[in-house]
Amino acid sequence: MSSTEAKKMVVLKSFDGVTFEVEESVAVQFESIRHMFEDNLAGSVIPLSNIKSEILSKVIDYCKRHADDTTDEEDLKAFDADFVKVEHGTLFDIIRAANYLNIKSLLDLTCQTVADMIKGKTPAEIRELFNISDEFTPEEEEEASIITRFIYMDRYADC
Amino acid sequence: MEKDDQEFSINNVDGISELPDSICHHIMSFLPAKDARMTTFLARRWRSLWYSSPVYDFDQDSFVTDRIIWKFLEETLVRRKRNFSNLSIEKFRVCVHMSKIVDLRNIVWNWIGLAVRSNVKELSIINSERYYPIVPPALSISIFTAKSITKLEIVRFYFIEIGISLSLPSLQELVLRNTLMGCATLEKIICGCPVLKKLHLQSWKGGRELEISKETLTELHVKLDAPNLRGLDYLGKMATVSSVLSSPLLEVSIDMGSDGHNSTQYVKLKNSRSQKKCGWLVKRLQAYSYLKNHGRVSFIESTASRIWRKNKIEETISEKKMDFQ
Repeated sequence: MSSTEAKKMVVLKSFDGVTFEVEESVAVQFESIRHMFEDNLAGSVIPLSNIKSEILSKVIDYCKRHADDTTDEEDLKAFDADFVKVEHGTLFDIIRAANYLNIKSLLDLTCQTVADMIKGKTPAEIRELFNISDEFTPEEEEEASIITRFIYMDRYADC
Repeated sequence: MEKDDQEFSINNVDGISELPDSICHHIMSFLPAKDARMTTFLARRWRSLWYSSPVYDFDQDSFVTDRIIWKFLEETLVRRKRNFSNLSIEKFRVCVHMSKIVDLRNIVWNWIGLAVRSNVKELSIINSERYYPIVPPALSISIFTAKSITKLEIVRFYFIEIGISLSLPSLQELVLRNTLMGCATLEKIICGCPVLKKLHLQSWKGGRELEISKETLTELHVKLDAPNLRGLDYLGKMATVSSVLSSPLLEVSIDMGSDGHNSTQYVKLKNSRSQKKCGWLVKRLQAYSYLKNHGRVSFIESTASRIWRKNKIEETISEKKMDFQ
């Protein structure tokens, strides 16, 4: 990046009306809205009507860190590990935002985090973890428990 | 299927249940098959997600017993075929001890067939049993004529000669490990891959001379165990060449078209017996011939088994280096 040239800025506006001014080098990571500021729309405000300011600021923070070439690999890993240490609700909001803005590395990072939480747990444990209400019928519950036992312990009755 | 960019309410309480299918699938793609299957019991929304998933990774090691993985493969196959046979599969990997029971084997063949029909991009079929199951000819043809496959990995299977011409228009990476396949078939496959970049041949069991001539290749990794292999030619521009020849080869000729230079390095090695040591030496010679970007390098070793010790080989090579210059 040339230091003599003024950095191109892009203005993003969150669902709750907060505006964020970010460098174009950061905003280009938002694949899905890239065309909006590349088509000479720089300077105008890009509305992101389904991302809360709290989440958008986190996402911008992530992209800033990842756009910085001077950060070394180890620091970036530590940053990522720290970045996903948030409440579940926030994590899912970040996933949605990453999906909406099409930021692949952030989507991978957050989805991997959720997958790691799920790994090795029974459905009941996962439901408790994510506070998912139990909406199955007793028959479906029975099926779940049989299959769980079958997969984890090989005690499937008619195997 | 919901769209990626669907609108969503910002007031969601139950985060995970409200995620669009594509994200749920993405989360599942980071999970071993059995954990991914568990998610069907999370909530009603997740019930069918496993069966419509674009990514499957069935690995024997993550299951307690063999019986379970076969049941598991069958159950998922049947329900996928019944409900989602029209959806595409991005990645399919199966790593199992291939059974000798026909019915069980058929589950794997059917899965591969379904994956190919579902426009699979990355296909890995790995047999961890010690014998070589014969892939049904019709299935071999459908694999080696699949338009969508970009990456193909095959470990420990037996392919009988295929008579027709083959074509893998999207294939960029081909990995064949411990695979029994005639030279003619392999040559046909390589010939039918216009964009092949990486080729890994490990303990490939062919037979006669194998000729690979591929302009698009950037990486070639070869580990051969072919007692009758007489010659091996590297042609074209390659960024990476690694080779371990672990068989009692009589003669190995490696002719590397050097990277952007006119000169050709030529490494010739004759080995009477010693297997592992031979492999090591070939590696060294290759590294050497890369460094020395000139003329023709020739090395013939037939008897000197006493100098195979590590420290001595360095000496032998440096001596020869002098000769070549």
